[in-house]
Amino acid sequence: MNTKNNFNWALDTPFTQDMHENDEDIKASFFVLRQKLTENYKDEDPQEINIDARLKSADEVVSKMVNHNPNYQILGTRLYSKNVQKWKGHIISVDGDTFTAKLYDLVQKGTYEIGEFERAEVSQEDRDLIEEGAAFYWSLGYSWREGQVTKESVIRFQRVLWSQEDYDEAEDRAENLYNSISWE
Amino acid sequence: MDCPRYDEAEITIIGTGGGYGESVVAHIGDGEWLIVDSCINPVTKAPLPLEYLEGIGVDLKTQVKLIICTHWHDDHIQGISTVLENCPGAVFSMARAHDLKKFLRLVSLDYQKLKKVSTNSATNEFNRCLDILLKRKATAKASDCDKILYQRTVGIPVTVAALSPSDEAIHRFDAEVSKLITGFGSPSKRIQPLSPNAKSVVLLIKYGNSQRVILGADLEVDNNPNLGWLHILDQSQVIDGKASYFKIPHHGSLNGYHQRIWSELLEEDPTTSITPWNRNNKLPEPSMLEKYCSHSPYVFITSAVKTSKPKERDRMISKMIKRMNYKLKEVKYEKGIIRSRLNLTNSNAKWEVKLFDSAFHVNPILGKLILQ
Repeated sequence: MNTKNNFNWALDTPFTQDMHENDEDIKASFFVLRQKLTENYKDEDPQEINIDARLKSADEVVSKMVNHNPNYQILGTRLYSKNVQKWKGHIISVDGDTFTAKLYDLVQKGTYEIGEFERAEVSQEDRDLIEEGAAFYWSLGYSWREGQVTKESVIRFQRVLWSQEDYDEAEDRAENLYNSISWE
Repeated sequence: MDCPRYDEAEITIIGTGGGYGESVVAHIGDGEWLIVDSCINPVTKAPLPLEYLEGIGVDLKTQVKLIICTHWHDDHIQGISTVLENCPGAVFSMARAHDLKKFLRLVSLDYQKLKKVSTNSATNEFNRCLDILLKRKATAKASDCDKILYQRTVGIPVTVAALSPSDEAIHRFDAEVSKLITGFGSPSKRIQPLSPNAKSVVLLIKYGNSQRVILGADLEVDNNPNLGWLHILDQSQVIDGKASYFKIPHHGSLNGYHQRIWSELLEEDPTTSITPWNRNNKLPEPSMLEKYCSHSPYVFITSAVKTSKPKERDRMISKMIKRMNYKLKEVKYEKGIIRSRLNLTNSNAKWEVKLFDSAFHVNPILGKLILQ
């Protein structure tokens, strides 16, 4: 079955679209596959289902959809998660197995914090990026996997793509600054 | 708050508690002002030197004559591009490498990187200043040791001169710029100049023939006599008298202290000010406060050095942070203003200091501070 087909993507409906597109708290990481049960199966327009679109969890979405429309059948669920706090960090020093970073709260903006982290908390693929000046996102939250809830701390380093165009733009700007600003 | 008279000098130090920049605004007589560095309110992002000057009725468009960026350090120039934008009549001055082309290449490369990661860093602020100067087709002033940055000979004569960085410091900066460009590294990683304090611009303000002010920026003492404070003490050509006002350098640290500064550059019992540093390490240390108080009964600080605590948040989130064993320390915002004024027409006049918000006079409570 083609799970990438929008027809089967249960979250791509008018009442769930806002949730997975705009609501960062719910990562759209599960899908419900709809199965055609009879030859004369007629799709029920989700808009006619009177469901509050601002449901708090994907779990509620699934159960309500299944309860209201027997044509929907859960064939599989994966992990989904909810962030409760997020920061952007810049490493200010590295000391052996730990690094210290300036942390900007992305939820409660204003003052910044200083935090210390262990190298071991960073995924293997990102460890090479641990150096002074590097930027990362750090989020705390919960994850649900097969009904089990766990606390989660995720550090993701920023990987910036740098093209020849970026380099040329920088060089052009430098040239322009050199030619246009006089210095006494 | 009121505006100084035309014949009154004013040196106002604005601190933010040690994490959001610091700034000095100085009245150089005849309604003219200069602004040194910048700081912001982290919530409103408003540059505090502009807030102060507008609050006392200064016309930013015409009365601000000089804006100086003392060094390229994240926590000293926050909001400086907004300051420059709002003061179109001011000349912008900063220390830069002698090889201008290479220097501009470095800052542009770093700026290009930062545009992708969106951060509020010194490089961003500095590059925005360059963009403003470009748009205005303005002339900027490089700050070098013994260079006159501003002078007025009519009315109340005033001279503003840079005492640093030294030629040796600039020469080393040139080499550093080459290294930084070569080791450009990952585009995700910010360019980190080494020792920005070594290129700090120390300022001397001469009011007429008698009054001198030294603003110490973040310059430190170096063993090399061609660098730091030793270079100023032994080789400066513009110092022609002792200063009655001193902004203590580098947040009152031991690295910014030298006995000779106090005996050779400053009058007896000068009026002095300090801005604290409140990140991982905390400055000034109590022992240094004791030392400064032994030199002068007039030591003022913009806010106290405090133990950092976690940020106040929703109880559930705070609990989660604690349970996961993370120790976060908030860098608190604490505004403090030390305003000092001096009557320039009275040769016996002393600096009159007024304190606002978190600023306080250190000497009377030194004992209490040492015990903390």
